[in-house]
Parts: sequence; structure tokens; C-alpha cells
Amino acid sequence: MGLSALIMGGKKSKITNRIKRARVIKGLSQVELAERVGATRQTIIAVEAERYAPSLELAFRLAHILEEPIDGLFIFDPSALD
Amino acid sequence: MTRIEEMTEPQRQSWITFLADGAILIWFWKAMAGGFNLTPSDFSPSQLSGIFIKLVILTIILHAGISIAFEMRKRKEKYKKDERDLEIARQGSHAGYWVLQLGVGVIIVTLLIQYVVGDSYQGPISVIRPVEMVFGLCLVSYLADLYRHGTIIWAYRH
Repeated sequence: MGLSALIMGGKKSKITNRIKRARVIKGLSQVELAERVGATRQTIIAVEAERYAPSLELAFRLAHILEEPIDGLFIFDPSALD
Repeated sequence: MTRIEEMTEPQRQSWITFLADGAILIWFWKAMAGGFNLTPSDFSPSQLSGIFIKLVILTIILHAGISIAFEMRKRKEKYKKDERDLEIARQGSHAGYWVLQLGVGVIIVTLLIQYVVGDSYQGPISVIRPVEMVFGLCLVSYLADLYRHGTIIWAYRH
């Protein structure tokens, strides 16, 4: 287990996302998307890079603004349960 | 390493505190123990006061200097903390609290053993004299704070 995993409580996110693709299609910059969902630019960068798994509320806000179904925007790898 | 322009406000603050307090801890440790020993020198009350006055002055100078250096390169934008900032701050506080509890625990147990055993105590650290208590508590406080900010800096990178 790496140091970052230790700090993060040993959890490794198995959630991938298509935020960047959806944002580009929608013609939004990271700053604009951040403002509209009530997050910071750095959080959007971290979410797009899959370094941060957003809360359920932020995930719904992203899905609403990007006009995508939430399960199309975030993909959970079921093998993580094994 | 994240460029200063790209840092979040809490990340920037943690870097400032980490660098300033890291330098202050090195100075304090050397001033109190003449190096990185665990036993401080035998200071008189006036000598100890002098060290703490210097510590306060050094803290102000280093924090101000490093803050100015970071401020000059900061991106001018309104910043409001979001859920990720709060989560990372929580992780940092949790990590710092753990180190603080560990350090205070070691000091309490050592003090108890020294008091019970008396003059025959031969342990590696001593906290029975006021100078030793002050040194031990300050050291733990600085280490816990550095660990807290180090955790925050690390969490922003990953």
C-alpha cells in the first residue's frame, strides 16, 4: 500500500468518469463548470484526472449541468467488489 | 510539484506553514538542545524566555516572508472552499491529532515513570524538569502541525 493510499485510508477509487469529454462537448471550460456546480477549478481538474471521487451531491450537480445521466458520467468497476 | 499559481488557497496556506514551521522547528531544536538531541540544555528562566522571544520574532518574520513570496505568484481569483478542500482539511486534522496524541501520551508516560522511579530513571528521554517539559511539548506541537500540513500537501497532490 502506497503512502497516498495510507493517507486516504487505504481506499483506492474504482470510479472512472467521462466528465472531460462531456464538458468539451458542452463547450464549457473547467472554470465555467466549476462555477456552475459550486466547486473550485482545482476540484474539477482532480475529478477529471480521477484523483478525486466527488460526493453524490457534486456528482448529481455535474450530471445536471452536463446534461448526462449520472451512470453515463461515472462508471463503477464492479471487480472492485471482489 | 504543483505550481504556486495552480494551488488552492488552503494548499498555499499549508505550504507557507509547512516551510515556515519546518525552519522554525530546526532553529528551535538546535537552540534548545544544541543539535538534534532529545535532551535540552539546562537553561535559566531568563535564558528560556529569551529563546521564546526569539522564537516569536522568527515565526513572524518567516511567516511574513514566505507569505509574501507565495502571494506574489498567486493567481488573482475569488476562492471559496469546496467539499474537496474540507475533506483534505479533515484528513490533515485527523493525521495531526494522531501525532499530537501520540506525543502527549509519550510525555505523560515518561513523566509518570520518572516520578515513580525517581533518581534511578535511565530512559532515553526526560521530561521531569520544566525546561524538558517545555521542550518536549513544543517539539510534539511542531511535529503534529508539520505532519498535519504535510498530509494536506500530500493529499492535494494525489
